[in-house]
Amino acid sequence: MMSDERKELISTRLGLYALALILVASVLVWEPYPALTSLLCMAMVALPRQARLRLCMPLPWIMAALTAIVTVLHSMGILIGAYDVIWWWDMLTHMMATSVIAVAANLVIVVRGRRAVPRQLPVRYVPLISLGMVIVLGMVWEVAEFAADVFLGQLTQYSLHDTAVDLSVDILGGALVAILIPPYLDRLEEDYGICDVTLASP
Amino acid sequence: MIFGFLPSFLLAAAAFCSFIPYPDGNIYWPVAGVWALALAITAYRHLTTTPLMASTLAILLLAPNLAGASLAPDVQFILLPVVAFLLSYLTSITMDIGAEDLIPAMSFLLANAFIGLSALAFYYVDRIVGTSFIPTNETFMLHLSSGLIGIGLTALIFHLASIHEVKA
Repeated sequence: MMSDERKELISTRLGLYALALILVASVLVWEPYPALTSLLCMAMVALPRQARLRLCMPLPWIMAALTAIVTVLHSMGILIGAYDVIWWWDMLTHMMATSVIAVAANLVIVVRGRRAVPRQLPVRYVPLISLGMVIVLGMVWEVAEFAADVFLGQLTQYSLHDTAVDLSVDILGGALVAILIPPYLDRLEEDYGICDVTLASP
Repeated sequence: MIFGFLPSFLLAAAAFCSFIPYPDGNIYWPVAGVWALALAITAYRHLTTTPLMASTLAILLLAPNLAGASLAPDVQFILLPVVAFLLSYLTSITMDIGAEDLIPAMSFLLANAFIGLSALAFYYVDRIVGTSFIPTNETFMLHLSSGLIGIGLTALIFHLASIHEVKA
C-alpha cells in the first residue's frame, strides 16, 4: 500500500512535469503570459511538499494532487485559449483553486491554533475564517487582474458579468468547504501536524 | 443602569440616521446602518462593555449627516471602511471567539467580506430588478479596491495602536 507521502510526491512530480511542458510550449510559441504563469504555478505545486518537509505541516495527498491539477488547468487554459472558448473553464479553475486554498487554510489554522497561547480558537469558527480568507483572496485576485488590464494592457477581465461570476464562484467554493469540512476537522487526530522530535545523540 | 445602555441607544439612533438618502450617496452606507441596528438590538448587553467603540461607531455613522448634503457622499466613501471594520470588531467581540489576539485579523476579513458580498448582492439586484447600483466593471473594481485598501489601513492603524498601548 502506497503511503500518503509517496502519493503526494508522485502528484507533485507529475504536476511539475506537466507545467514544465507548458512552459516549454509557451516559450516555443513566444507567449510570455502562460510561461510566467506556469513558472508561478510550479512554485505553488511545490507548496504542499515544502509544507510537509519544512513546516511540519502534512496536508492530505489529495491536496497536492488537486493543486497540481488546478495549476495545470489554469496554465494550459491560458496557453490554448480555453478561457476564451470554453465558458465553464473559468468557473472550474476558480472553484477548484478556492476549494484547495480553503481546505489548506482550515487545516493550518486548526493545527497551528491548537498550540496558540493564551487561548485557542474554537474549531467551529475555523471554517468561517477560511471562508473570509477565500472572499478576501477572491477580491484581491480580481483587483490584481483589473490592475494588470489597466497598467500592463492585458485582457484578463472581460466584463462586469465575468468578474462578478468569478467572485461568486470563489465564494461558492469557500462556502462548500466551510459546510463540508467541520466533520473532518472534528476527527483530526490531536497530534496531527506535530513533528517527531529527534533527540541528538550525545 | 440607563447610562449603561446609552451606547446602544446612540448606535441605534445613528443607524436610523444612516438611512437618510443623499444624491450620489454611498450604496453600502444604509447596509452598514442595518448591521449597526442589528448589533444595537441583539448585542446591547455586550455594547455596555465597549462603550467607547460603540459611541465612536455611532458618531462615524452620524458624520455624513453632520457634514451636509454636498459633502455626505465623500464622507461616506472615506468613512465606510472604518465603519465596516468597527462593526466587524464589535460583532467579533460579541461572538465570544476566545482568541482575543485574532479579533483584529478576523475583523479585517469580516469587513472585507461585507464589502465583497454587498457588492455582489447589488450586482445581482441590478440584474434581477434592472437598477444600476453597479453599472460598470470599473465601479465594481473601485468598490472592491477602496474597501481592501481602506479596511487594510484601518486594521493597520488598529494594530499599531494596540502595540503602542501594550508598550505604554
